[in-house]
Amino acid sequence: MGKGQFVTRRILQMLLSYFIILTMLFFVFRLALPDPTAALVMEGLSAEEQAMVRARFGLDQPLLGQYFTYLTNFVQGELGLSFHYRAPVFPILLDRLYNTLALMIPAIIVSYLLGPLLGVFLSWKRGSRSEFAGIIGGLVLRSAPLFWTGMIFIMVFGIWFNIFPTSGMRTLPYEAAHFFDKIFTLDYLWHLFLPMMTIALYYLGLPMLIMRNTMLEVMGEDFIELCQAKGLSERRIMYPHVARNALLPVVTQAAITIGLAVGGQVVVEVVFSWPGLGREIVQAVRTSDFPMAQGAFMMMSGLVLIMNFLADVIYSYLDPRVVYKGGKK
Amino acid sequence: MSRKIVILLMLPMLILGLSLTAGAEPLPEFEMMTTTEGYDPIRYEAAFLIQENFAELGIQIDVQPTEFSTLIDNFYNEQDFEIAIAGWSGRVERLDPQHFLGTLHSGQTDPGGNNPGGYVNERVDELFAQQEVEFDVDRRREMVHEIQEIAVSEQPVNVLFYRDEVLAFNRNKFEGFQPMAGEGIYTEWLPFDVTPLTDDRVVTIGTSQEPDNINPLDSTTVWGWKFMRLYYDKLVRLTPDVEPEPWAAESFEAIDEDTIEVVLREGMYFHDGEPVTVEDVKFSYHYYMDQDFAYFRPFYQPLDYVEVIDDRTLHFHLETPVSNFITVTMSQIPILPEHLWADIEVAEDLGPDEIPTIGSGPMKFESFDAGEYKSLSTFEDHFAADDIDIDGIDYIIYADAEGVFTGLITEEVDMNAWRLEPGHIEPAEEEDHLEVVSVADHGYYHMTYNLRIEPFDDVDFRRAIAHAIPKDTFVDVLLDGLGEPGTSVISPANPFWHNPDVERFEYDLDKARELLEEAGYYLEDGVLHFPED
Amino acid sequence: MNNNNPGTKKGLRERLKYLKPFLNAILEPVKIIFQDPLGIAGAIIFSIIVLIAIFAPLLATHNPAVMNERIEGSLIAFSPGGEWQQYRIIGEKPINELVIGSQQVIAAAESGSVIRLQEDDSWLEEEVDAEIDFFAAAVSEEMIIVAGERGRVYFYQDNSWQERHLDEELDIHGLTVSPGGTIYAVGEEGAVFSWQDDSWQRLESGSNRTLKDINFIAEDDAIIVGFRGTIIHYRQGEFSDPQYRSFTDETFRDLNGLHYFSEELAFAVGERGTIMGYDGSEWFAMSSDSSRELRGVAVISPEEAYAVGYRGTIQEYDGENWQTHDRITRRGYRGITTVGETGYIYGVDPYVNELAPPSREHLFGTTHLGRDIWSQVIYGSRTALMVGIIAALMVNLLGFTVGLISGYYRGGVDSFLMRVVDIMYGMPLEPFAIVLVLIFGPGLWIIILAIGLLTWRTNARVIRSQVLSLVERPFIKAARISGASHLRIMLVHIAPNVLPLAFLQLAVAMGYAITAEATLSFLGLGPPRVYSWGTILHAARLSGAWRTAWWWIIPPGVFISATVVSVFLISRAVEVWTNPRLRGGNESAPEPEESQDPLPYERQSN
Repeated sequence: MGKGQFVTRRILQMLLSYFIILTMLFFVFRLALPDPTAALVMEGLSAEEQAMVRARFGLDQPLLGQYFTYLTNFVQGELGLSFHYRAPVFPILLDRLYNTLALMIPAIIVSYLLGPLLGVFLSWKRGSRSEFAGIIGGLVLRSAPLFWTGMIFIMVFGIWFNIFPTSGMRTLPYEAAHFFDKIFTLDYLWHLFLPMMTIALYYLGLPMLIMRNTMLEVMGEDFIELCQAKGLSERRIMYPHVARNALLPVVTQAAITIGLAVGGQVVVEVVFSWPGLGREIVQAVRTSDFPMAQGAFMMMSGLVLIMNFLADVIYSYLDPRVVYKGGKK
Repeated sequence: MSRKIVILLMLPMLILGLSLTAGAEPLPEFEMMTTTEGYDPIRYEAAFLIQENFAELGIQIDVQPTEFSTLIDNFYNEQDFEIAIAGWSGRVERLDPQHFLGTLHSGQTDPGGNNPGGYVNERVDELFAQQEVEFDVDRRREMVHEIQEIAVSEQPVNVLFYRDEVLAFNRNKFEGFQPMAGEGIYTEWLPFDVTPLTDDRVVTIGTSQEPDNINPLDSTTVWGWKFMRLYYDKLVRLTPDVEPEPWAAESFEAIDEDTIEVVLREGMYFHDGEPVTVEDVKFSYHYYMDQDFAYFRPFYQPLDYVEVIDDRTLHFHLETPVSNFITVTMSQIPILPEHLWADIEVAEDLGPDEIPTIGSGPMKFESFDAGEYKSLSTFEDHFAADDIDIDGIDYIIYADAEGVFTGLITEEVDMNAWRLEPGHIEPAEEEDHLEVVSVADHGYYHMTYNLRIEPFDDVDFRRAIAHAIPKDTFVDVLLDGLGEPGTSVISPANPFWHNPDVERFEYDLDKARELLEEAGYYLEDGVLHFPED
Repeated sequence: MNNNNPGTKKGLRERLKYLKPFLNAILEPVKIIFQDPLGIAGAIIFSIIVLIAIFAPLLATHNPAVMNERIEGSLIAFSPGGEWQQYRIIGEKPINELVIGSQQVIAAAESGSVIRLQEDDSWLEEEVDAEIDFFAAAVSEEMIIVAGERGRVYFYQDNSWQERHLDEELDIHGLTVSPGGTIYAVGEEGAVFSWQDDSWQRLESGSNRTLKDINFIAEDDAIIVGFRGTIIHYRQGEFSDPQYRSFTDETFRDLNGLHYFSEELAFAVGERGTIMGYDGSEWFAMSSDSSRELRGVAVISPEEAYAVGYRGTIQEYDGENWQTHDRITRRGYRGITTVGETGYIYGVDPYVNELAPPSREHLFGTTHLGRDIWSQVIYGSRTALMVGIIAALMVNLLGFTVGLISGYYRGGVDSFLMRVVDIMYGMPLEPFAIVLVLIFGPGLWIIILAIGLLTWRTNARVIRSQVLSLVERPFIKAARISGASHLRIMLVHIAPNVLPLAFLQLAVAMGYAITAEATLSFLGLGPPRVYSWGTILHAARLSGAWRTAWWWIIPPGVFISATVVSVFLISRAVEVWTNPRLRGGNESAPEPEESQDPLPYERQSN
């Protein structure tokens, strides 16, 4: 089985998983909440008006009919009308998705740039106090909950020193013709710093430890000793050769981390008022906005699936040892 | 045979005996619905304080923090509650006592009505009907006072507290904010009141509440309307003293019982340059009626039709004579441009990008990004534009009150639109650049009993437990002193109608126990029991 | 397992034989932990947390839900012009009125106490009538009078307290001695009494409202104020019509305090920041800078006056306007009095000890509602561990079973189960939990369920790959050939060998579950009134006080981190043992068999 086939197969798997998630989502929402209109009826509408509301949100059809409408609508990018905004969910969520990515990707990049570098440093300092401190530091950062670190950052850098903004993506008002216009500014970077560091520090420990471990492992291999015997300096061995080998698990882990970060980021978006998917889903719970919560979940889970898929593909390309056994068993 | 007769004779005694034992039952545990901590920490904590105090009397309460829309649904529509803590917000049109007194009226006890507790008192109904048609304010006031007196002494609803609207603004950048009861300082007069003190001539408002949408035929939240009323004109505006002031109307006059003559102001333009005509006014009112926008129904319901007399004059023909048509209806219905709306068949189905945002108001719509930002700019061609010193209003929408407060502290925003949480008040007071204003609200927070359930049907019981509600703690601890202990459904912030002489139930647990005992309730094993007979 | 004679000793022994590898498998990691210094550190921290959770009721110093109240009699001394001294506690009973005489300073306090200033600047408390609260005090050249509930009045004469109670059991709120030496008392139901001919005479005030204060400027000129805007002038033995409540009148608020300074100047203060001024002919409402209730007012000169009240409110008058003075405390003051160069603000209302920094009484300080943070954190450890352990067990049970079956049977079963795992991987945890809460409402079980239903995916994969490699081992093949049942092979031969790995996963899952619980509770999705480290932080954020109250946010965060770190350290120690690759260095560790799984699995990351 070749790589192409492996990728195709993996895509099909992903689509199937997504379909099942969508189906589960639908039935969980409909079965647990036979009548979501309760959440809509605020001002004491008459029975007739309630019926109108139901029709408007497509809740008057039989269950199976609703399910197929749901699927066809999904394919067409229609995720329903938000109870809260009284507007289609999809365009709102798409905008939020970009914002989420605009925080998540830089954060992961930073942690996967800094982390491995620190890992290399630690392996180099193996057995020393700084290695010990580094390991413990990594563990502590990984253990401190994101929202807590975020709050402390806001308290220290936002309030006490007042050097970083504590909420939002941009200083408002701003003019931005399109999304990239919005993020390619210093102001955005300035707003990005605190939430990004909160996330980056959290995820930094893992690549650091992986890098250190793999470095030690690879360094233990015979040919390194050979190189040493040849009189090559440790540093020259370290970077070009060892690091390249050790990066493999790190890169794979990065893609997986992005998938996990989708969920983990929710709380950071809330703490920093970042207008992303996470903040939206929490808001949706507060306002009982079922279509919005459902749509946000769909989007997040789609994102996770894609990231997992990319992780597999990257892994397959980077690690020659992987045998494509998709069709075994 | 005779045996049967004996049994038959004993039957009434048996029933009596059974009912006696039934009477000696302990009070069950009651559910008390309140909001979630995240929605309103004040009502949440208040419920637990009441729970603690009722427990002292042997009344067990199970506090159920309920998600807000479920709470409203259970309370008003299903009437599925035992005790509920809810609130009424003080909108301007509610300064007239009609609405709040209606919550005590027997006509509102059906599901969906505003009297979900099911309170019925003939005298209240009678007075209510009389005051409705009473045109002499002093006489009406006497009736309104009597209703309050009865309602407070019978305690179907315990008004817990009135909460001040506490707002802050940046005193280094703007001055002149005028508070309005129930509105705070984010009023529709804001552009006229405020003067910039620096080069920054745009007021930036921080808020965590945002419009549901900006469709004048679909928005059902205060936040939608607080925004839209700045860029739509209405015939009449209410002054801070709630007097109608001619606005788009140059004058208005009731020419007979059910006709009001309105002369439209000259030289008004929509933001797209089209002139505002009497046809636009007529269209707007008829459009609201045709589209049957439920949220505004109380406003347009009294109206029969609007007639154009000449190019400046209109006659509003009412179906029934209503004394407050000018204050309530004409101050609420916006004037829409006919040329943009006439072709829209079902206005509520408009997508967010299809909604016309052209009005003739003092501010011009600029942008609205849900969840992030919205803005208005001053409309230089407005007839009152000379009185406006600012260039526009920006709104930054935050995720929560925390974000708003941080914005105030870091001077990202110049004022907030929605009240400060009590925990933010002191730090705000300590900031040099912030001025904190506390505006009384004529809305109220209340605890309503379901009077269909024993023992809440017992006036003596309700009166006794009224002494076990620590209202001073609510105000002092939960509200940082900025509010008042509750008495009547008409708040003291509405001084003309409020009855200050209603009975007071001082917080006194011993007194509560004494009264319960007098009413026949007794304690056994720490649990209160129903009277023996 | 299929032993049919369970009654015999042999059967028992037989069973024990099977149990032994399990026991070993469980004990082995424990031994391993104690061989690793970091493992020991982790185990110690974790044990401490467990002990804290077990002994929470003993360790907690307060009920975590109670708003801790303090009751004290205290004052702030000041001299006119602006010399304010520190808040000083002088007794255990709140002071209702403090009066300054030419020789003495007397305070009437609750529980029938009188507090007197001694010459050495200390205060002496004396209990006069423990049955009632004293509300009022007055002092003249010869006499000290205190009065309070149920019409009880005490005169201090000849070095002892003499009771001179009223005929009616009415609470007395105000006492004064007129310039001519007559004693007046005002109180409930419009009561005005004067002490004449050694007995109390009731005067007809014309009001039936509670009267709060009376003040004379001359023998025949006094003002009385009371509830609901009552203002009565008492001149030449005549009471004016009580002025209150009508739309044209200025106020209907309760008036609590009064200072009749001169014929042209008097102030009365009351509810909702009401300040009424008197200019010699008329009363008018003055605009106050605060809406908090005012209790007392003291005029020092026509250009200087102070009013005090709820929540530490002090209003300052400069001859024209009232302005808010910075709060010195947030206690509810009950009055203010000045004579000459001395002045006192006194009180205070029982107050909730809010936002107190750490002290011996409150080790981690208090919240904005005076709740003890230490006790909340202590109880929070229970929630964290409970959720952590239950969720981890659930995760492990599911993951272990799926992994074992999948790895053992391989083929279609494996394929199917791994697809299920893939689907699970497609759902991010926090949003999943949020959706569950939206549907089922907040609760600890929802959180446990969310963690349990979703995160077994990692365990399943890890266990499966281990099982896959084990299945190929000769001893399993031998067992198969000998005809052992699938169940037997799985449980007896394979399970013990993967248990250490499961143990490791248990620790990892627990750390993860604890963080997840904290995160979800922080978002406000936890159940009400259940203290967890996440809900403490949620409340801190909701209150807005966390910016300054570092003691409120540091401890829960540290506890979460410490617990999770300890679990990670333990799991790391086990991992080093189960996966020798991680030991690193030049040790000649045997290379583990290559994973059969084409997919990389997450380590620690979950």
